Amino acid sequence: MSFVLVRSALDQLVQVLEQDGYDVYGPVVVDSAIRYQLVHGIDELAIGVRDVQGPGHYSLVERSDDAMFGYTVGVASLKDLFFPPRRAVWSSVREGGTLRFEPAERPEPKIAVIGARACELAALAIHDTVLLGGEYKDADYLRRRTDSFIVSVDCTEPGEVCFCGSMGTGPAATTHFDLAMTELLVDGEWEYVGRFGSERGERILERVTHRHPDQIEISLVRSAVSGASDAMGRELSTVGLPEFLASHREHPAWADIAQRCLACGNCTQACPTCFCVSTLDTASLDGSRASRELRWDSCFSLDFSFMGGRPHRSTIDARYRQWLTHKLSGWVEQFGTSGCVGCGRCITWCPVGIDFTAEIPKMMERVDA
Amino acid sequence: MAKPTLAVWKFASCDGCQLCLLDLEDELLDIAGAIEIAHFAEATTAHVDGPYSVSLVEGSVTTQRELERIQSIRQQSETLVAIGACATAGGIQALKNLADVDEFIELVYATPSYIDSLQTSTPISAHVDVEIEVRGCPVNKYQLLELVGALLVGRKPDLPTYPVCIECKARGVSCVMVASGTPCLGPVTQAGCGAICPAFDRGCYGCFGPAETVNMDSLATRWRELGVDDERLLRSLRTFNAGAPGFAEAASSIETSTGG
Repeated sequence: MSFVLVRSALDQLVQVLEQDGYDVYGPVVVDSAIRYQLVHGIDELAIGVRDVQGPGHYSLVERSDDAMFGYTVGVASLKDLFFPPRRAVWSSVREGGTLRFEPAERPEPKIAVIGARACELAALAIHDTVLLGGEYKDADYLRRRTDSFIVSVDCTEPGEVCFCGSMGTGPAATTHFDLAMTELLVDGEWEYVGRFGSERGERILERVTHRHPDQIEISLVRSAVSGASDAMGRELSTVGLPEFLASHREHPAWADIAQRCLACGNCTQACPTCFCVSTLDTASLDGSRASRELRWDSCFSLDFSFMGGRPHRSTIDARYRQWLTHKLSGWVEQFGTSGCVGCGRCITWCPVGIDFTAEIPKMMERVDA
Repeated sequence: MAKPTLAVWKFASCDGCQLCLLDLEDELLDIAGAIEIAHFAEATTAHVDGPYSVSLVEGSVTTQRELERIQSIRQQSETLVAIGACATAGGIQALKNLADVDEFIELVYATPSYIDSLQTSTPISAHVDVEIEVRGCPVNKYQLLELVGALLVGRKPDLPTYPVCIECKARGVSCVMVASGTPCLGPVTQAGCGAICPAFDRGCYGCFGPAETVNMDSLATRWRELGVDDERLLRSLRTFNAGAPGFAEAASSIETSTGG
């Protein structure tokens, strides 16, 4: 623990980041849901609201207090900021008999986020591995990440579909932040008891009014975080799970789930780690200019598995199995971690509420029986 | 080299899809620069005889004369593209496929003997080979532009067949079914509109017809949980794309299961 901010100091923090050329994003209520939006002050944030999430259900309710980060997780994750749904890669111009290629215009300014959750940072860590860890790096993602500034706020309000405790990714942030804080109500005043995650974080905080925490505040943080750990709405046993899924490709449960699965792809789009894209080329009508764009795609779309003249995952069973098995099993083999951070978005934002934390134990029981 | 020629044809339709082409105000000059518009009644009375490089066909086939005319257009067209829900699914007028047409005619027209109509409204693909279908009621003008651009250079046009949900998420629209309990056809409807209705907090009406995968049994279960009765379910599937196989089969199955 290294610092305490009062609520008004968060406004200073926003201003300091803006002075340093950051676009600051924070949790805001948009169309009855919480999303990261560009903000210029903390009065724009989602104050005094709580999200109620369940399979296929999301709603906001008023809190009895005016907590600023008193919700679980927003609709969209940090993926929308660092790995947006549509990105230009390059453009080309035909000049005489030759083509001149230009890299896509780089987005400015730099991205700062206030209110990132531990599960979202775990997802960011996964994207760093996937998109930057190999031989070929995603240049656009690299630029957004390199210049980014992350202020994490520990989750003290886990929701009904949360299982970060099972996935070892929360509720307190341990990595990939510049500043991390816990929101506490002490003697009627909101306090943000925080810790540093980077030198950049220390330098920024030097310009924001703060003080050192006392022993009481430190113990309050501990109890808030451990309280959150005990309040997870879901759990998932991951012991032996990658092996189980890899060896049960013909399990009858896949067909059962496919009865309900709409193959709409919402789970993949809401997932903070799903990174599949398709590449699209467009050209002007006279053929003088062309450009290439990357768009989020989904393993639930037929075109995504189109090869050799046909989609090779034509049934819903095959597509759901691909998604879940890659996420929880193949991912471990490929990248060394699970692809799931336990945020519950795939459960909440599935229009028919399919919940794999409920499906997997049933699958295992059917094998054991 | 002569410019490729484009012909735009009308069958049983409201002309709205043709108007979408005219609505490409900023791009019309570029289009006219790249291709010769040989026939386009909404734009000009000028007419150039075929053959045509590309024919855009709007509307469904509802008369004997149209049955003959589509054959002639097909013969004159190198590439034939059906545009809009009428041309790709039979349109709203395909509702007559489910009813007694003669009874309709008796009820509606003062002089029924003037009316010469087939018993059904059918998509263009029911009569001739169609290279590409552009969905929508009406079509998205940018999909038309993409189509023309792609045909000019000989590449595959970007006409995704995945559901509207993908466009909602890309646009940053929170799912109206999950967040507001609003029944939405988005999960079974083909993308292409840019998720217009959910962006205004309305459920998708299915204007772009069935998506590549339609699991209406599951979606219907969810709609019933949201308080939708089977009559409304049926009506929602029987609109502009009532004749599209994915929606037509789902509707019949609901009708059969409820004894309606």
